[in-house]
Amino acid sequence: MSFAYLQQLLSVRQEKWINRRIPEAVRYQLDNQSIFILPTKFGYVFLLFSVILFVFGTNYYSQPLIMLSIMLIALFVVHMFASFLNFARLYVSIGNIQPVYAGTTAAIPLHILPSQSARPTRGTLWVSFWEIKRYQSIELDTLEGPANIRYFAENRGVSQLPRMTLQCDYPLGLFRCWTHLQFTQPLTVYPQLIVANLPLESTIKLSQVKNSTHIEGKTLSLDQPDDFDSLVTFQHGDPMHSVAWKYLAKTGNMLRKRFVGASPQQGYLSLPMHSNVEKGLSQLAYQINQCHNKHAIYGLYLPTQTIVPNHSEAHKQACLAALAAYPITRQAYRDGQ
Amino acid sequence: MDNRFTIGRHSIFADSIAGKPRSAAHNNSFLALTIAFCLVTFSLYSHVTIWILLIGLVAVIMRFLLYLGLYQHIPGTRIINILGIISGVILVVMSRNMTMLSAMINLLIMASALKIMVLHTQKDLLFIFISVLFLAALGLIIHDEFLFTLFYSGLVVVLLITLATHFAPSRSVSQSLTKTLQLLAQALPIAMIMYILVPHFSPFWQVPSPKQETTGLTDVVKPGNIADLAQSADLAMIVRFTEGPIPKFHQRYWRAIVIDQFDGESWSQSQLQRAYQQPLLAMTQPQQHVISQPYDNIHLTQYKSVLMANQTQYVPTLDAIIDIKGNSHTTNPYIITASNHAFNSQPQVFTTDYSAISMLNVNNQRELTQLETEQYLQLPPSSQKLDYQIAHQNPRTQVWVTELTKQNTTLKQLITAFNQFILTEQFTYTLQAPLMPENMVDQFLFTHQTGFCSHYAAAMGYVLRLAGYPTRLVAGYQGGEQVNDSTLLIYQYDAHAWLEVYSADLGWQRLDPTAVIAPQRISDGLAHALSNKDEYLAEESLSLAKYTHIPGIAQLHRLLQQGSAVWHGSFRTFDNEDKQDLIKTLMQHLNIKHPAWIGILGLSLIGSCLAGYFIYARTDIAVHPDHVKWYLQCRQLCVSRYIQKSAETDTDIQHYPPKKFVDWLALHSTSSVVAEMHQITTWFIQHEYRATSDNHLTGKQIKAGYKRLKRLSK
Repeated sequence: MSFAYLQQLLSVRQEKWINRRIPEAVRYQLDNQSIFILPTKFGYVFLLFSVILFVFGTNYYSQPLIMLSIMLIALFVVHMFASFLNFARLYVSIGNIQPVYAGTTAAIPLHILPSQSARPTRGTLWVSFWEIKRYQSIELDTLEGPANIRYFAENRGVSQLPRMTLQCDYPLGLFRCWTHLQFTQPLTVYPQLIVANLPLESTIKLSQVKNSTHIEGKTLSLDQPDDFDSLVTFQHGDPMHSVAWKYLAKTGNMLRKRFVGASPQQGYLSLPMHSNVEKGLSQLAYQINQCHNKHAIYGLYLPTQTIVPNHSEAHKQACLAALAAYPITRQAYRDGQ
Repeated sequence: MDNRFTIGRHSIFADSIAGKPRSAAHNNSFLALTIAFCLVTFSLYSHVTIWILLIGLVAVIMRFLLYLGLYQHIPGTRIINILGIISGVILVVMSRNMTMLSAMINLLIMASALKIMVLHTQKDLLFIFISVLFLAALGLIIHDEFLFTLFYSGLVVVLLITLATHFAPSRSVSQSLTKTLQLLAQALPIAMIMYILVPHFSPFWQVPSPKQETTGLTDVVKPGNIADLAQSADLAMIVRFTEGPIPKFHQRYWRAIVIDQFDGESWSQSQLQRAYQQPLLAMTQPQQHVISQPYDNIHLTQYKSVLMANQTQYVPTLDAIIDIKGNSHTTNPYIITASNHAFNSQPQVFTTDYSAISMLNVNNQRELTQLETEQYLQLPPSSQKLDYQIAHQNPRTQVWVTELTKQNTTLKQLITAFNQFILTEQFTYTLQAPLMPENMVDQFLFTHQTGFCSHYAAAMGYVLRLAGYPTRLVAGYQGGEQVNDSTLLIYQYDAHAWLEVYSADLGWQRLDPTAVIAPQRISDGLAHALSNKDEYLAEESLSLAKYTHIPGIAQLHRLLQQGSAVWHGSFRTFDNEDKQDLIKTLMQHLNIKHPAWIGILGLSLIGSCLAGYFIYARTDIAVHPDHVKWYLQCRQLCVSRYIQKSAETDTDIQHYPPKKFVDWLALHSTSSVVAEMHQITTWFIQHEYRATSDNHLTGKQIKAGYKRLKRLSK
């Protein structure tokens, strides 16, 4: 029984407990079940200090000091209630989350909804995620509209956010109220983009062989439209294979062959045939973006689903979403994603 | 590190809440903390060395500039470290001459000043908060007058505002102030209950007094040193009479020190007197007394005193002291000496309280021993050996007394003759008598003929001794300001010196030449006695008592006095016995047998207070006007019952304005529902923009629409 194993056991139990206590939901009106409250470190120091002042007051025969210390202790007690009441007015939800690419930061719109009580929640709200020690602050008094919470999306997939931790020290910082909320709104994370140059296949024939697809038909290269048109000056960034080498050998000038496409490209994109599926998905994602920018009409062929060729923003999002939804492979799991 | 997530120099993210850097410009909490620091340093300035004050000043100025945005850089760690080391060295060097408390104050102010210079994060703020609060506590101990208590209370409120503005930075200062005061008001009843319940402990350990200088009386009466005391408006003692009437002003003689050795220039204590102050020689049995004033009744009066620390063992008590005891349940530190005054076996380095019984209008009549008679007739040596003794022979006085005694053979006659003399010669009573370095008594009696109580007492004492009557001087206080029915406040300017002369039939008789020459001093106090009003509290320009001739000031002074009276009378001296009395009264009223029930009652009162706040706060539900309420219900109904799956989340839909909502609804619901909702929305919008609209009427309309909507689902 290693220490790491015990830790894992504990965290599993912790998760079960909190899942029971604060179940997942679309929106939350905070109450006794969902609020945790304890004195802050400063609160403990404050209390200890009040007791020290009481001792000093007794020793130096200073009634005013004794009264001050008792007042501070009473203030500490009252603060607990004030903190809780303030935090319990919080009524939060999150809106639709725009999908992002893996390795970038998603912006999560946190809506502070009008609560039942006449007064809103006040103070500075600190937002972070379960067991991630990076905090963002929201000033509740000047907030208008949703607040954008940043969440670093590491891995591809469609998943729930981890529990969002909201903390507040209002009014005097002696007590801290916090909660861990599990929102059900999903976050779609597209694969990280990896530069690739994948071909568009014009037709697809499925073979009966398990775990493989044979692609038949003419292979069209995306970057090479059909007809040769003219020679233009080579610009930095143009593909190297479009350089007119013979001409270069002859004259020493770098010129590029320009082709004009008669008709827009059309075809299907599919997973490249190498073992790393994640890499393949990333390349596909890049390719989809390229197709979209070049106004090609592209479709997506995956083992899990097929999307007919189309060209629109929504189509692109759908394709990327399909990539995101692609099941996580055992390899990816082993790679620690 | 993603550069997109920084604002200015600060990242949006913080790795810890307490350590996040805050902007200094227009940061109200930093400013409030600096103000609190200024106030507390100003109130303690007499205890702080000039160097630390300078550092504090620099820190405050820097912080103001940062607040206004005129200056942007906080000094680097190196500079602060250098400053810290320099000031640390200064502090160590100067602390040789300081009491421990002063050293602590200096250290705290220095640390706070340096921290204020680099104030940057929440952690820094909270550290300085605790330091300044501690300084305020020390200030409360040192300055225990009423005005200072108010001042430090205000300071604590400023400190709390610092916290309030820090933890809710977007709120205005006035809003934070309101919240703070609200919290304090809620805490007040709970604090009062706790205060009554918490018992009064005795000091946990002996600590030296915060007051640096020796205040109060000393056991050498040199003409002049009592005059020094008369310049001070410090409180010397608070007396509360618990039984018997409060004595009249002229009866308030507070005997503290007996002085019986005269060297021609000043009076001091003899070996005998010092011996009498040892506990071994204390009087344990009640002494004999004889009535002094046949026209006044004898009063036994009981009182409690709070005596401010005077660094000595002298205890002013009302003449004539019968019994005295301290407050703690351990051994009584007080004794009554053979010279009939109270004495503390320990030096009074902190404020002490005692309870005592005294008898007014009596004289102590114990017979003098041989030693005592010799001592009380002691005269300065007349040898010509040393120069200074020549200078203090007072020859003229000696000649004069010889003549006087020829004509005035009894003590009574002699006293009368002396009084006649000073009246006829028109002596005056002043705080600013000229120096009389040689032959003090001669100069006083025949040259200057003006002086303070110590001059008069010293001179008359010498005269009586020359005439052969055992005499001794007494120093203490006379008078005291009555602030309510039972409380007196005695200030340092009430210090007084008088004398006692012994005769077989009258015992030790009190004589006060000041009563002859300046009777208002004895009946009304120093302020009324001085012919030159400017002398009174000349050093104390801040004392309001000096300016009572200005009309507004008189009222203000009276108000402060009343506040002071309530303060001193009720709270300052509210000790364990009073608390127990209060609890006993409560128990009687409520028919409770066991005292523990009071504790439970108190706790439940506190609990119900808190529950009250809780419930009150929970009941403030926002109430929408009728038409809004029903409109929202309609929307809710549409969303929950009639919507086919839509891409937008509930929260986005909630934010749609009325028109957009209907448009969206048209895409996702049946036409009848949309039509109904459209109608409702039209009513709603029309209502908001009409010149006169009745919420209730429109509310009814929309309510009817709601009912129709509901029926549509069936």
